[in-house]
Amino acid sequence: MPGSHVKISERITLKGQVIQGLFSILKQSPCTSNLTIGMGTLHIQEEVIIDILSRLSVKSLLRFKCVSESWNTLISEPYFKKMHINIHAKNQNSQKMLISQMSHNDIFFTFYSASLSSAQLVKDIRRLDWPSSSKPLDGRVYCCCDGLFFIGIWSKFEEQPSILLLWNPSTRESIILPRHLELLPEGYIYGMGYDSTSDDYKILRIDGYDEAPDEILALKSASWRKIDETSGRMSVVTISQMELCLAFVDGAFHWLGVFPRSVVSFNISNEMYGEIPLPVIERTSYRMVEEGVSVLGGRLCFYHNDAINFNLWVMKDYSVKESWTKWFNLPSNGVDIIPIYMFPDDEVLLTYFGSEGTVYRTSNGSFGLSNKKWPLDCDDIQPITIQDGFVYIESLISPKLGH
Amino acid sequence: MAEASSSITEKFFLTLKSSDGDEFVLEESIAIQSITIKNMVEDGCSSSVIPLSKVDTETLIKVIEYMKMHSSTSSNEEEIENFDKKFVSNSINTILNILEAANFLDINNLLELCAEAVANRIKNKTPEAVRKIFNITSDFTPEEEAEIRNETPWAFEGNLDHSLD
Repeated sequence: MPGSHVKISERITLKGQVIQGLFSILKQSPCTSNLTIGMGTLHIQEEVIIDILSRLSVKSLLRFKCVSESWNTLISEPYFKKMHINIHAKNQNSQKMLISQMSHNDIFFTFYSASLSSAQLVKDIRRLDWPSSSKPLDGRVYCCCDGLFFIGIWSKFEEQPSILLLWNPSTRESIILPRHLELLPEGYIYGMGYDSTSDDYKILRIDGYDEAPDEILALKSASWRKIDETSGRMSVVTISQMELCLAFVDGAFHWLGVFPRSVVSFNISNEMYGEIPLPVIERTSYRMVEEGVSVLGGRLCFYHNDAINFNLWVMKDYSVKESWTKWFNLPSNGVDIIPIYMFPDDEVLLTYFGSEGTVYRTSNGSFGLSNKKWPLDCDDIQPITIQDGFVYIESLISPKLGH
Repeated sequence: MAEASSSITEKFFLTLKSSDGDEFVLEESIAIQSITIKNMVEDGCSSSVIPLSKVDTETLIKVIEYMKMHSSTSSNEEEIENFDKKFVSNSINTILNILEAANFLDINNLLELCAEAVANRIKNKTPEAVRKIFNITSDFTPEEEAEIRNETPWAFEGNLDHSLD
């Protein structure tokens, strides 16, 4: 059974991480002997404890920090936080959705968290506590990575957000991030990713009008920095209003470029630009098209919507042009569609931006669009009030990294 | 198909000995789901009795039951699923013992099944209940514990489970 071999090798890597992690506990904590716990017949080894705890939710883990000093130390360890993400990233039951709702009637701008399931799409919706003390007028979710959300908050009606926050809704921690070096009125887009080389998270902003240099913020340094070679990179396709964020996969941010038409990549570690060719498209008409890149199931995707048909390609081997594979096409009837998530059975979650507002639907390649849809008329949230929706997993990662 | 191959291939048997001294004879093809046993077989230690000093009789019976179910060619997916469901409905103490054994014997599927089951059982429990289940004495002073609770008071809200199973 080839499947079981994969599992065993994953398990070995996991054990490697555990041993490495334990070593760091040994260095830090004087009370390591308590990690091997148990009296009488029950002796539970530390790696078994870690195996159990890494499967728990963030809320349970925060509660279990007060079980003992060694549990507290373990749950606070960076390597444990990473392991927790890796376990939950593979678990369909751990997939969540963060939905933001615009102010309407007497309701202020609000965040909701929900579970994402293939059967029901969005379920168990709960309202999230607002990350800052004042009630905001408006907000935007710019991007997310490993359960951290980069958001802009407006407490006044003005062009620029009043504050930029990095927020972990699962631990309810947040920090205020510094203002940009150059403020842009509109047409910008963000991406966030983890850089394993510097063990840091980085946020990148690109200007859709190609006027301002790209700016990057490494969380540990906590300041924006201009990227010198911005002028040398390819032009950006004017970013659609619907585009959520830059596609982060294989250690690089991606977006669409023109002249030549291709995917522009920006490596998060060496901060170099690159180019990936796009699949060849037969142009049947010269209608307005919506195009973009996103990440589905850990692979780079490209979509092309000519207002009649929505077409999706998946790049099976990163950066290999020949591996672009046509995934499916759907009638789009003038609706803007953005793919945001792929379920393990290859069903794709799509955001529909129609006249009635934002609706989430799924499509399974060969079977076409399913009848699953959210929100429905009976739901508390109305399509017209939905601002942003991001799929994420809960994590213990602190936005105060490096502080 | 299975009959045909078994008539050609000779069946090998292993003897596993629990920490209580009880011996169990098991087909080698079933026992090598345990990577620890598989390695012993490959190193040529299979001719004699394999002592499992860390696994008691009660636990070993359960582990063998699991390995037999998961290697049988006659059991279908649904049967295995039902078996697993029933298997993890054992007491949490029993599952923890099996989990320890699965870790020692290196049976990946069993380890995952039990770790997931324990996580599921403790997820809504109070820290006090978790301490009792895992036999942990708190080494925090009341002040230190209060400080941790005050960091995330909302994590202690809701209907928490005080039971020990």
